[in-house]
Amino acid sequence: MSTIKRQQQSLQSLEPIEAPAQPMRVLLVEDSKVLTERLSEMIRQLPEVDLIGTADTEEAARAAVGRDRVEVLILDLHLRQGNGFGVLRSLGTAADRPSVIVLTNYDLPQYKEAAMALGATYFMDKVRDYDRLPTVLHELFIKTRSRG
Amino acid sequence: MNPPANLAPAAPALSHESTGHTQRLTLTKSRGRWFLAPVALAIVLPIALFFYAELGQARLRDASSALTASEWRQATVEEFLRSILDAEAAQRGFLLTEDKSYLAPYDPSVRRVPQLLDRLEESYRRAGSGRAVDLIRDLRLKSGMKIGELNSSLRLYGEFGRPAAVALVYTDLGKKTVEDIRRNADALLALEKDMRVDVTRTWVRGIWATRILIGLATLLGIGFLVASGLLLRRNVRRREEEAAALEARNRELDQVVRERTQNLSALSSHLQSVREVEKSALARELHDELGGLLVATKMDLMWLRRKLDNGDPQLVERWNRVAKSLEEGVELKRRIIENLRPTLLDNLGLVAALRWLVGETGRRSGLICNELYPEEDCAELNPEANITLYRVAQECLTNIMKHARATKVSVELHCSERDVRLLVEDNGRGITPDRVGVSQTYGIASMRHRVSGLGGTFSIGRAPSGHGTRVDVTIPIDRARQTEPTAAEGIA
Repeated sequence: MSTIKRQQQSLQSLEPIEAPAQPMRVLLVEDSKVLTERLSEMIRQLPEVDLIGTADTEEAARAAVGRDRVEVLILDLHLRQGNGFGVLRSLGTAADRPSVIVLTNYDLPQYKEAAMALGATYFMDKVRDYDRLPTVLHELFIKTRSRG
Repeated sequence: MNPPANLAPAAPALSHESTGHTQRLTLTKSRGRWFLAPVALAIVLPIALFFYAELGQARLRDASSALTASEWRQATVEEFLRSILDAEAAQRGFLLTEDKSYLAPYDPSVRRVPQLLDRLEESYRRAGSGRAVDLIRDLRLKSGMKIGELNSSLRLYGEFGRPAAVALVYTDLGKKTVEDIRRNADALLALEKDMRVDVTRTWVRGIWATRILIGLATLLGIGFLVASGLLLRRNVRRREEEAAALEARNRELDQVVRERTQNLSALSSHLQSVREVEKSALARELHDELGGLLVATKMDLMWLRRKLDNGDPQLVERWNRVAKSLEEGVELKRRIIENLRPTLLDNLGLVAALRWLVGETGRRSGLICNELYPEEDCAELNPEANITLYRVAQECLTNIMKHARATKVSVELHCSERDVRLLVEDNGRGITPDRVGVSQTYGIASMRHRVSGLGGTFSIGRAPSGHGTRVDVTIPIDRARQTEPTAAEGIA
């Protein structure tokens, strides 16, 4: 209960930061239509974030990353074609590679380990952690903007 | 539903079959009886021949003794004639010369004549020749008359001197008697000759008969031999044909069995892959649809929670319960999905999946699990090899938990240039050889089938340590890596 309160406070406190910096370019990679809609809706409400598109396959995700100067990937591991690990692997190790928030139903520790090993920044469970997504995006925003 | 209707056609078919059977039986029987005749002939004929030969031998012996007797009688007749003539010559010589020395052979000759006649009669009686006996009687009479005449002449000589005796000689009485005797003797000799010719003819006939019989027997023997040979050859040929037919039938059956087995095997493979596909489809559906719904519900729930902030504690309490149930539902969905189709396998590969599987098994059963995996993942195994090895390990661990009463399990995966090898071993009570092919072990059969579908080998037996069971699976690397369009592919 207290976490939720804090999150709400943090959401409110985000707003003043919005003005000076460019919003983050975010790609949502998710194969469930329902969730794509819900998450898009949620993300669009965040001022620091610019949802530049969605993808539901590994191929589409990789194409979008190559094309659209994506800064943050919200990545589901389970995709209609290929999987999230394929996308992670394709990002390589360059410094300017997009940050990745893995948001998945696969909650086994093996997945987290593997995803982290492939350079994911966050590993979140869809059901348990989904409401932390705005906070995490905010953290990333702070990080990238302070770096840039 | 309708047994009489079903039974009706079956009954005639059955009786038809049975008549066919008896027909075949009688056929064999009559064939056997047909065979009896030559066999009986072959046995009876030599025996008959033997007896006939014995008979012929006896007849020949008889003929021979008849000939000897005939010769003897001929000689005797001649001797008789000579004796008569000797007596006559002695009488004539004496009367002519009055020299007593001429009379020396007279008495023996005269004495000899009836003796010879007795013997001859005896012999002819034995030979059963009535005519000869008649002739002998006549000879006895005539020779008696002749000897009487000779004796009379000699008596006349003694009583009345030479002229009286010579006068008697000059009567043609004696001469006629001698002629009669000679004629009779000749008749006897002719009779003997006829008899000998007869005997000889009989002999020759007998010899010919024997010859013909032997010839016949020989021919029959040869015929029988040839027939036996032919029969034997036919038999052998029939046997060969039957054997060939049987062989062909066996081959046919073999072929049928092989085809059926192949069909069954194909069906089994098909069912297995269908099962995997269906599981995958179900897992995906659960993940996509149910997962989406659950997450969406969770999102709405979170929204509600924000609205509930500082609200009615009862509502908050109810909200907490809903949230908890939802969490449990999500957890359940995950477990079901993972059991249907290990997502780790498709996402992170075999080793990750095995690690998770073994870890879960250890956690649930309390077994001490040792694991040994290659340092580098056997990457790039095709989905079929992945799922096969995974399912084998899963089946083994399930069996171990259910049946083995083990405390330790070891799972090893080895990759070489030639093959991928999975070893699962426990320290339980061990599988008995008679249980390796039976019931508990449809699972085993299924594992074996899966592995052989990839050209691999599957063996189950006592662990080398002597306790527990060891399953050893090897799949050739080219089959485990090769990517082919399979049912399992495209599921991730």
